[in-house]
Amino acid sequence: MKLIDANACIGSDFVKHPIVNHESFIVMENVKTAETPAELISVMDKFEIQQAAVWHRAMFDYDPIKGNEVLTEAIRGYEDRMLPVWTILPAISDTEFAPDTFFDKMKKNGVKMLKAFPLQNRYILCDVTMGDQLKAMEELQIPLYLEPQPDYQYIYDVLKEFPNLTVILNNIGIWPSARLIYPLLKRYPNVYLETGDTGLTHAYEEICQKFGSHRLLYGSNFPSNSPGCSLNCLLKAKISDEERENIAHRNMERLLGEVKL
Amino acid sequence: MINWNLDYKMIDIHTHMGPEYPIYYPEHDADSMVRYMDECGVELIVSAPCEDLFVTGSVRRDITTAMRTYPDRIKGYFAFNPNTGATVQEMEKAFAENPGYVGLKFLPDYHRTNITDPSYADALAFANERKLIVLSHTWGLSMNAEQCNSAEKIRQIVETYPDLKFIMGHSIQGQSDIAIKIAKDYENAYLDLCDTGRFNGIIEKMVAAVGAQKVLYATDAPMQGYRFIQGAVLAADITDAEKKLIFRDNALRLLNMEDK
Repeated sequence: MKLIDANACIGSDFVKHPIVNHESFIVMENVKTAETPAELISVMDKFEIQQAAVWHRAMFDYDPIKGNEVLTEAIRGYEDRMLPVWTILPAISDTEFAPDTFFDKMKKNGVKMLKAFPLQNRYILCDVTMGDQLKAMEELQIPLYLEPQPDYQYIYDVLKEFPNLTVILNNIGIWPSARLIYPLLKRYPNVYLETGDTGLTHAYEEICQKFGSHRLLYGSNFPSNSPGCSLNCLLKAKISDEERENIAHRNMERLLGEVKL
Repeated sequence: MINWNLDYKMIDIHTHMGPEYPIYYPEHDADSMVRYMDECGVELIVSAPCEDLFVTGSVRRDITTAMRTYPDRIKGYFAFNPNTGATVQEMEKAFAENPGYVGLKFLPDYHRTNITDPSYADALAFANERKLIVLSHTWGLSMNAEQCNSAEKIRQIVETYPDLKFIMGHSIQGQSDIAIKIAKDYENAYLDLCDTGRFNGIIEKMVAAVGAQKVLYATDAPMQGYRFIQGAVLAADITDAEKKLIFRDNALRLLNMEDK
């Protein structure tokens, strides 16, 4: 079965690695990171993962602009295995992200997906702050990775303003509550769940039954997690082969195919 | 090539039962837990139901019923809440009436009481005298920004009570490097993979530092499925013999069931 990991990270940790624990707060731990693309490739090969959506620690720990550059430089030559994910900032302050130039830059660099860390980068992800950018992302169908830090409220809010935004929920902690995730999956057909932290009893079965297998993207959340965690769950879930293939790679391939850059 | 399947059954040393406030997980009673154990290759669990941990007063209906219904599949922890307490006589009676009890369960962070507080002393002495297992929740820093079960307190407990078998639930998450040191320094201290076992590379680090005989498969089921941490162990760069120690043999030794 082909596997595309929807959420992997390269780069060493600035101090320790911030991990969302099971009570949804951050703990700092030493984990084994992949400092270079070659190191990540060796992890991917071990788990027979063909491609991975990859971001770089520098985007979070240092600076999104510099971090995007670090990622682009680092993965040059690995484009067949690594799908780059950049981080976005509000263009009202950081003009490099203005829609008339930034999306062209993404295209030139083969970038089709974005992350936003509004808590870390101190802004509010909303129409007031960056409406033009979010509107353009809706129209271009660019997937946006969002993690519920400090909580889900901002995700609910931005989707209320931009209901057609393609959102990939990720790094949700290993006690992810359906009370917070299911309403988003029900209301917004363009919201997806990356499975790196998903290990609840029969979670795959229930989500496939309630919302369809096309709403899950296999991911490892590496290096917070060993890729073995979510992969063991996916391989053994009581779902059809068709559903498993959707989660393993087809959904990500479809999302990337829909990007209009 | 990773071998995703085992030819033996696993033992989960850290589970619960029943609902708990933060999350939705509909399959939480003993019957559904045993069904899911069958699905996931788990032979035996040791459980501390949420009603015993979070309901004021001594309830203990779920665990006593479960241990009677599934004596070969479910063992129990006597959940000790220092705020409501349990006398030595009550614990003696409960253990005499319910042979499935194998130890005590502490939740210092949630009960917002330091594990070194005198309110735990009788329970610790009870466990020490009988060489019981004590499974305690351990975190470096809790969700309340307290340190009720952080590393320096755990070190004090395992040193003061050398005859009990102390399982560091979550391996003092946030201070796991110190937990590994404690497991190395104290014969009666054990590392628990619940949640913490998913961290990339940590199982290899634990095994290299203290040996697989001090590392225990643990999940928090039913709040978490059995397979997530299984995947971390199955994929870890350790030997098959070390995996069997983690998944089964260490638990059998702690439970005095080595003949099984």
